[in-house]
Amino acid sequence: MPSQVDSKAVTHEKATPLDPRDREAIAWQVRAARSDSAGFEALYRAFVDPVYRFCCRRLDTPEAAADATSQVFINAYTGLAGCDETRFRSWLFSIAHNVLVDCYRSRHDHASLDDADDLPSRFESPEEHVVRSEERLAIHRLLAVLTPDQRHIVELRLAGLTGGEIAEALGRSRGSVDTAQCRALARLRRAFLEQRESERRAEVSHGPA
Amino acid sequence: MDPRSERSTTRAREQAVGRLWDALQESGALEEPGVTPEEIETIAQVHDADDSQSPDDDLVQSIWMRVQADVESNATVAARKASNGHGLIQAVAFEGDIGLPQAPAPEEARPRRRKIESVRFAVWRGTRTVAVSAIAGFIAGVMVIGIGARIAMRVAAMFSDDSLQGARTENLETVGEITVGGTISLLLNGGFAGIAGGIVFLAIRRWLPPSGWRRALAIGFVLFAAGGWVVLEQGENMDYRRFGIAGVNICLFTLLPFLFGMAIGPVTDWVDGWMNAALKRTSVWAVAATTLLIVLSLPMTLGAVALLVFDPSPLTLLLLLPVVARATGFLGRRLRLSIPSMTARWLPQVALGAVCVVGLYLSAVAVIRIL
Repeated sequence: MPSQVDSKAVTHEKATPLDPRDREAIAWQVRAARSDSAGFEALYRAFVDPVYRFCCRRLDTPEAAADATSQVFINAYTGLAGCDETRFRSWLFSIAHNVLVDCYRSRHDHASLDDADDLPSRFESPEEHVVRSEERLAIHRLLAVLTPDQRHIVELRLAGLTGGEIAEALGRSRGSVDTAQCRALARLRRAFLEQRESERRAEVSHGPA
Repeated sequence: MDPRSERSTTRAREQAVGRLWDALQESGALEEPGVTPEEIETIAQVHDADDSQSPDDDLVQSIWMRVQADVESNATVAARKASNGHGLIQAVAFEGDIGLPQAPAPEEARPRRRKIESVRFAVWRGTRTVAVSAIAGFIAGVMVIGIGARIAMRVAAMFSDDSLQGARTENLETVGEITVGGTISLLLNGGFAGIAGGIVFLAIRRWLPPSGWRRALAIGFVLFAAGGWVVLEQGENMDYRRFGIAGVNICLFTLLPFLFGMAIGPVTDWVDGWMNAALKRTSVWAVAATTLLIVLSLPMTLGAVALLVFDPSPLTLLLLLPVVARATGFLGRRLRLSIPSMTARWLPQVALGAVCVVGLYLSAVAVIRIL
């Protein structure tokens, strides 16, 4: 498999980088991608980072996130004709949201494979694997204090979407998004304070280092 | 505080938090009146706590290969998983992290079929793209150049002396006679010129602003610069001075390529959307008619491009360079050839710039010659 990756990487032609926040350029690129599949590559390269990281925050393993990311872009390409190009980013993340919901639903079908994903890599020791898992779950643990609704909104905020785009992606009103994110902030604030307090107590009980 | 004013205060604060977070997303600014420092700190802490890793170049490439495989075969991952039954194992093994047995990739399992599908897809995509530009060019050409030229001629006739009624123009038409054949010929000429303009637009549209007025003005200017001197027939057509007012005639006729350029972008978008919708219809007749239209537009496109090729002017040949570069880039990507960016990008842009500069100079010379 790695040889296959290398051989195709050699022939890869890099597309002009697009700024995901430049709506006008994105709209133009969406139109170009409709008539030319090569145009879609520029969109992919512009959005793969936020979409992959969005999937990482929801899924347990980078492999599952990569799988979901590829599914998001395949669905996006398939539905590109019906997309309002001025709202591409929110549309793409609504697809990502739906793909991740599907992943959760089909998760028990792949339980054994999910377990396999969590095996240590051949290239790292068990200790390194534990440290990697701990690090990866930091944002997961933080967002766990939120309701699913609030979590979706904060995850989309972390993906770089504005309030209006989040409302479009989730099919909600801007007002309800504002309300939910304010409540999410209050919960996160409490979680941060509790974390700080527990760290302080741990320091007191163990003494200064 | 009464409940109503409390609600409105809460709402205002929620909006302020929303605006603050928007500003952070858009410009990185982290201040907004009405938002408490605690809330600002919490937002900053959430962003700081985000430890999700960006994909490295290899992972980006491997995901793209998976997407491309499905995009080019026009299949979905669901179908792919169904076909080999090991979609997730394949994805995991692909990264080389764990030693699971590797499922055969679809490319390896059915190489010949995938190659045929890939070539078929490339041919269909290329044909459809050219057809959209040609059809859009024809429509915009008939509407703007054909009808526009007829209007311009009427205006010239209005300002002409009555004594010129019945005179012969340099194109051997009789002044004052509006014939059906002449009008159709004018519209068709406009349509054919429009197809060539549509192909030029297809070739250079990636270098233009994405949409709106800026794109319209840019392509309008390019076609005005490249085609103005052609419309003025290098100042050799004395009809510009003979009929009506020379200045008005020059303005009206050189405006046509500019207006065509302004129209071609929106018309292309419209034809593209219309074709997408037509090809998705369940009616076999609608799909067949659209496909026939696409196929028929190809000989017309070849005819229009041949007009450019066989035109003796080196300037119009230079205008073909972006078209050739665009076609080469498309084929190169499909045939997986690496084309130097100098050839694919910079050379056609320089050629286009040269066409504009020399075209404007020739237009100026033609105007001086007419006046």
